[in-house]
This record gives sequence, structure tokens and C-alpha cells, in this order.
Amino acid sequence: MNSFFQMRQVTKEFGGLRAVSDFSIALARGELTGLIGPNGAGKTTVFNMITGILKPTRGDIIWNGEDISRLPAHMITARGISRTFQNIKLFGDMSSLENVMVSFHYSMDSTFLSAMLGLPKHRREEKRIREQSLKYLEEAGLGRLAFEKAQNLPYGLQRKLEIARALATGPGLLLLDEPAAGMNPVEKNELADFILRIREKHEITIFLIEHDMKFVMSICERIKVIHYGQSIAEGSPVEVRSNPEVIRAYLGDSFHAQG
Amino acid sequence: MNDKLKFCLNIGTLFLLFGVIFLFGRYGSGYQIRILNDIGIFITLAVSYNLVNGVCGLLHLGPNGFIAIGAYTSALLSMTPAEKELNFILDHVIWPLSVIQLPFAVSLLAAGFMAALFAFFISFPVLRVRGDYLAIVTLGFGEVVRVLCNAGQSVTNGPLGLKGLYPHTNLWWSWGVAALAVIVIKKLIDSNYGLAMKAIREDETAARAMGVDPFRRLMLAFLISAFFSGIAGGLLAHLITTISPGLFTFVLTFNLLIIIVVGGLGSTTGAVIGAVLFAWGGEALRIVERPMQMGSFTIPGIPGMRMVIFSLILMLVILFARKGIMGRRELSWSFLASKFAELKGTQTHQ
Repeated sequence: MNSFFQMRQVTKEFGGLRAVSDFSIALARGELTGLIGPNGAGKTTVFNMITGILKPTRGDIIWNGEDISRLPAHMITARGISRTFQNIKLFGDMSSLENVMVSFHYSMDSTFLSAMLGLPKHRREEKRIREQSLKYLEEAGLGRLAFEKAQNLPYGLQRKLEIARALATGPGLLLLDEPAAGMNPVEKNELADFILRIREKHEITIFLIEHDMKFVMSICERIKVIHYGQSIAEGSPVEVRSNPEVIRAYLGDSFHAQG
Repeated sequence: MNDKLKFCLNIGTLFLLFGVIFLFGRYGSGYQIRILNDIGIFITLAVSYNLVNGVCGLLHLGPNGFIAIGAYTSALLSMTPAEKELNFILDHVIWPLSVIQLPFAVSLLAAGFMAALFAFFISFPVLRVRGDYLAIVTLGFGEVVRVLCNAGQSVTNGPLGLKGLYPHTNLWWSWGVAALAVIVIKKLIDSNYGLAMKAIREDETAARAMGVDPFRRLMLAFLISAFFSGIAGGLLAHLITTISPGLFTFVLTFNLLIIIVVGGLGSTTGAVIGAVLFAWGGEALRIVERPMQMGSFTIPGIPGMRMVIFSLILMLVILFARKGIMGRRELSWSFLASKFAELKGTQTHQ
């Protein structure tokens, strides 16, 4: 297995509270992995540590042979890990197009001076960024809403815009934090297709958190389950579904005793 | 609307503007010229202040410090050694300043760079914090500069200030700098750099996750803002020809804050409109301080009455136009063209 992303015994403590403890995972290139667990299990904390929003208390996060666990967030993005957020974090007062254009910022060649003077080189680069951003928007089905303010988009489209924005940073690994939350079944099906499609097209690895079991089971090849910050199971959807530990974590002990 | 037409219109407007400036410079009264100079300087100050407060969304309360540094730097560099000798009666001015004299343009540039250098050093502590804390830290640094100007007898001549500066600032200087500041800052805001700054304002965590380094982008805005504030400070010094630490108190910052809030935080057009209203309105409202005859009543002139009216205007804006005159919109050619088309459309309907 060609694992190019690895978390080794990663622990995060907030004061006395251990949110994530000795979490390890290896992702293979092109794989679609799900991270599930009951509320408060530490799933989002795992994502926050991967993307540098939080620093792990202990443990390493290896990306393409480099330990990224101490890097600041923007440098991790520049190295090819991008994400969406559980509670949508768009740039509300900016248009959809501008939201996506921000993702190109870290890779800009022209300096602020050439921007202030409006030099031709800078204008060409702005034009290229604009065209590429429009492509990402069209891919997400938002082409017609390019000039609409992000905060005015309906909920489902805001989620898609977040994915488009994350994709525009050109990631090798995309982290989706509850992408299907608050969507109806039709929208969820559409989203599943969209996620599979972008994986094919951009050749990216996807790691996602989701509460909707049907959604996770249908698109993920591998699932990791955490409970109270500890990893309790890992395997294919079928294996995870029948794992007694997982059933206990989700449904409690009494159910297990009766069942 | 294509880019070429817009470019021609921009150039045309610039020519028109400088045509008007030329006419005023030639035929205007001293009073009118003075107000126009004020307006030009305040446009520079407001537009550069708006870059930090409106576009980046930082509540920065220390521009008076940058303006003071700019004013003192340019004044000390442009005065002749003999003038300095006359000014520094308590203590001699320190060595390199006592012998050098530079052309006005060079002293202005130096003023901009000195202010930016100061901004660079304070940006390390300042940009570690956000919100109210940033406001307090910048407020503190603004005051520190003023106090240092007061105490540095052998550099700034302390509370005595510097007097008898040559009035270099004319309409060409004040409006030339204003036009330059508006153009380059607007270009920066419209570029991807501006987008990154706005992204930090909207959601800093998301901006970081999209690869924007908040520290570097905010520092860039902070330095550019300081640079132009410093230059405007130099212009101000050579307009009023006398500077003392008392000129650069928090009231100056407060006035700038009023300008950009009334104009619309985050809008360059708003900052320009706010600056014009403030600098010109302040003079126009002098009428209310004169004695007035109303029928058989005679109202004696009340000094400070226009400040009351200013406050009332501010309150009205906050109550009825919470986002200021422009909000975050900009006045652009496309916007004007669409308004014009609308107007034509309604006329043909009738």
C-alpha cells in the first residue's frame, strides 16, 4: 500500500481533557476514507490537527515524507492539504467567484507592487486566476451564481462552494467535514456523485467526516471509527457495520446485551 | 463596458480634476485653496486608513502616530540648518539633523518610509492580537509617539514644536498625492491581494485554511497605510507650517474614524466622500457659529456649535444609514452606466 499520508499516535489534550488519544491512520493515494463516530468523539479535532488549525500535543503527521504537525495552517494548504468546515466558513460578503479566487493567493507570482501599479504581468495573472476560478465554479454547478454574494446562496450550494474553494487550492488530500449535513436525500445523492467525480477528475485522496451512515457506507472504501478520542475500528463498510465495538459506541451497551 | 473605455474615462476624469485644481490654483481665493489642500490631504489619510480598518477589518486606532512621524520627519529634513538653529532654543538639535537639508519631495518620501518602518516594528506585537485588543494596542502606540515627540527635546524640539516651515504644500502636491494614493490603493484592493485581505476580514480561520498567511497580508496593509499616512503628515506639516505634539492627539484618529465610518467602512469611494464632507463641511458649518438674526431674536455666536452639528450628523448616519453613505459599494463606471441605463429605461416607459 502506497501510504503518503500518515498520522502516528497523535494526541490532543485541552488542559485535562484528552480530545484525541493515540490516533493513527494511513491513507493510500486516491482512496476515499470516512471518519465516523458519535458526537464529541474528536473527529473535527483530528481535522483541525491535520490542517494546522490546532497543534497536536504529541505525535507526528507525515505528508509526502515530511512532518507537517508543527507547520502553520497556510503552509499546510500550500503543501497540498485542503479542507471544508463543519459550520460553513465562507467569505460571506464576497462573491462566489471571489471566494474561489482567494484559493489561488498562496501561489501568486506577482508581487504587491506590481498589483498596485497594475503591471501587465500582474493583470495576466489575475485574468488566469479568474478564468480558472470560473472553471471550478462551473464544475460545482455554480457558474451562474459567480457574482452572487456567498452569504446569499442557499445552504446546499454554500456547501458546494466550500468544496469548490478547497479544490481550487490544488490539493492532493481533501478533507470534508460533514459535507452532507442539512441536505435532503436528493441533494445527498447529488453530492455523493459530485465527490466521486472530483476524485476521479483531480486525482485526489479524500478523507471525510459524516454522520449520515447511508452516505458514508455508500461512497467510502474504508471507514475509521473513533469514540471518546480513541480509534475503535477500521475497515471496509461491511466490516465496520458488523463490528460489535462500533454498535456499542453508537447504540449503547443495553442494546448490545439485548441484541 | 470594456476596459479601454473605462481607462479613457479614468484618464479623462483625472484631467478634469487637475483642470479644476489648476483653475482654483490660479483664480481661487487663499481660503478656497486652503480648504482644497485640506481636502486633498484628508483624502490621502482616509483612503489609507480605510485600507486597514475597512478592507482588513482591523480596528486600528493609531494613525495619528504615523502622521506625527511623517510630519516630523519631513519637517526636520526640509528645514534649513539655520531655521533649525532658530527653533531649537532649549537644546541643540542632534548631529545629522543639524546639518542636512533635503528637497521637499525627498523629505516626503523619507516621511513615508519612516512611518512604514515604525509600522513594521510595531506590527509584530500589534498583529498578534485582534479586535478590541488590537484597538487598545494601536491606541497605545499612537499615544507613545506623541509623548516621545513631546519628550525628545533635541530631536523634535519637544512641546515647543517646529515653527516657520516653508509652505511647500500646494494644490499640486496635496491632490497629486491624493490621486496617487487613491489609484494605487484601489488597484491593490481590487487585486488578489485585496481579496486575501477581505477574506481575512470575513473569516480568518477559513482564510488560513485556503493558504492565506494573515500576518503577512495584514502587515502589508498596515505598512502601505502607514506609508501614505506618513506622506500626508509631511504635507500637513508644510501646509500649516507649524507642528507641535498637540496636533497629533487621538482627536486626529477620531476624525479619520468618523470620515471612514460615515463614508462607509471598506469603500474607497466612501472614504473620499467622507474626507470631502469632513474637510469642506467643517468650514461650511462655521456659519452656525456666527451670531444670527431671526426676526426679533438675536442668537449670539456659539463657538463649538459646528462640533455639535457634526455629532448630530454622525448620529443620524449611525441611525439611518448604518453602513455609511456607500456601505461597501464603490462608485464605478459600470455602476454609473447601469444607473444611467435604468434612468433612460424609466423615461422611455412613461
